[in-house]
Amino acid sequence: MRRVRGAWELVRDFREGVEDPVEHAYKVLGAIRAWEPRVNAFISLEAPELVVEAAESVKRRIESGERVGRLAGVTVSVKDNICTSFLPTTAGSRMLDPYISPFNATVVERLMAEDAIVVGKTNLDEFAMGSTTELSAFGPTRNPWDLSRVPGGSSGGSAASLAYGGSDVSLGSDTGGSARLPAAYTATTSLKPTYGLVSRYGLIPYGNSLEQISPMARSVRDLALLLDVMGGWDPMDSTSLKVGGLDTFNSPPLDVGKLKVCVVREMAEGADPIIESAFWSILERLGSEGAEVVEVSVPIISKALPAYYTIAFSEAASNLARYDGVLYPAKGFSGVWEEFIAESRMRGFGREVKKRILMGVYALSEGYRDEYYIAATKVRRVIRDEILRVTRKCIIAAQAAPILPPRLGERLDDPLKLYAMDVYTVIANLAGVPALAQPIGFHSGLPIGIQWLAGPLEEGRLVSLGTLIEELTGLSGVIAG
Amino acid sequence: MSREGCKQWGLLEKLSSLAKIKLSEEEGEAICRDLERTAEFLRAVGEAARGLEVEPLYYPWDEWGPMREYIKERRVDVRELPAGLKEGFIRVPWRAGRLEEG
Repeated sequence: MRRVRGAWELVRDFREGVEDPVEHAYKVLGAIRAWEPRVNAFISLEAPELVVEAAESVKRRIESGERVGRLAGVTVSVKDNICTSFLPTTAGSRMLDPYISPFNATVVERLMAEDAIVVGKTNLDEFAMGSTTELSAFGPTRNPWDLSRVPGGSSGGSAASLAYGGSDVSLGSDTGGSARLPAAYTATTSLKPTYGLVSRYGLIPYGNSLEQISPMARSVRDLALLLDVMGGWDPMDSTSLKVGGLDTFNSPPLDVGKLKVCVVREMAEGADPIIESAFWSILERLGSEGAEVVEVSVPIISKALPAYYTIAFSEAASNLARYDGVLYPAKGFSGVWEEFIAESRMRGFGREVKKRILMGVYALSEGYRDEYYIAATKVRRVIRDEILRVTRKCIIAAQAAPILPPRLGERLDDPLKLYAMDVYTVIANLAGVPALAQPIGFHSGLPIGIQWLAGPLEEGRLVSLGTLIEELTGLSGVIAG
Repeated sequence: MSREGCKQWGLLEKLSSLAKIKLSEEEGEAICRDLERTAEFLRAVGEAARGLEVEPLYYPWDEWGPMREYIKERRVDVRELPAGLKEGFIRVPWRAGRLEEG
């Protein structure tokens, strides 16, 4: 394990002339060269000379006293389901290989406007449908902490790039835990924002009502910095909330004596005993610091996983109907229109994506709709209301993952085992509330994480709590190797 | 595709046709097996919803009071696009594109 400085410290040091952004860019490129053949975190990489050129530009502007952005010289990796006009966007699928978007996602525009340097596009489960980053058309990503294991998914490429130092911060997306599970598996951090706080314009959709582009980093303060830059109202996204001027980075320190943490039993039980032990031990420490820790029960949460997957499959079936071989790269051969579409989709989609589309069509079809999709949306309402009720009183502490990072291939033969990896994370997506994942320990060299859920637009409280936890554990800015 | 070992073969064929997805024989067999197990797993949600006297929730902040102030009124007017994006309007680029071509 090694320690590196946070992105916010780097920006400060670049500005003060203590650190050279060009040298830093070379360090990051060196890490990518050293690790990528083994990890496969990136699908596409920016040309090294362009990365260095961008860093040189930042350096020149600082030296000449010009104003530079809040992310000046910070290297960022971007999940490959977030559109960029300068690098291909494949969503990990043959269907989109080698699609180049005509525009940048709003979040990418906002990062670049603050002088961040995009180093590449990261690997993911195809169309973000997976929990291990093994289901990519571009091969699996491996966990830098143990190369025989997965980094979690679907934002596994982003998490892995952070875990070996291939970028300072990263953009992931979180539909049912896709940014938080990889954070827990790689000793990095991730914050799934309140639904609507971050623009989804330019995010290739999987489950619209559930997903949010999420900042990923190696420390909570870096998450806050990134969220402040990328968050806020965007007229290009009709679900964007009219919120502006975020300042979670300067969230005041937490008065631990006034902190109330609720452990929802259904979000804490059932994990591997090693994970459970780490979870309760950090809560005990919080308790000894003066926090009030109480246990509550929300029985409906035991139905969150089937409700989530029913909704996600249904939305996927609708969203992925657009891939008909006409607008996007993968194409069939038949001269008959309907066959041409079916062939295009056969050639372009992987097995898991096909399965989820078929399940979505099933859940939405006449005769099954009420028993599946409508039932799931009703259960979702009850879960949302319950979570809002609890988060009005306290911050929820929950497991981030039920098991330690599995070995490659270990979870692929059984879909239900794969889906069960999201059992604790889907709840925040169903409820729309923010959730922070961060490391709390290691077992045999493998990271263990925790997640915290707060009420809508309470990202600042999560940042304050996350910073306190980092002080207690000392786990901030750690990388493998 | 092969029917061996799959009780829901007819259903799979119907779904493939509705979703406009061709499946190879090997894929069909594997997906058919998973389909049965997954449908069984998802069925729990139907049982859980029985007796729930609530409306479906399609959008997290549909009518939840405290979040209403953060939600802008939105209108859609395809004819106005793509000449300029107006505040409060939803952009529908593919429709606007067609109109432009026409």
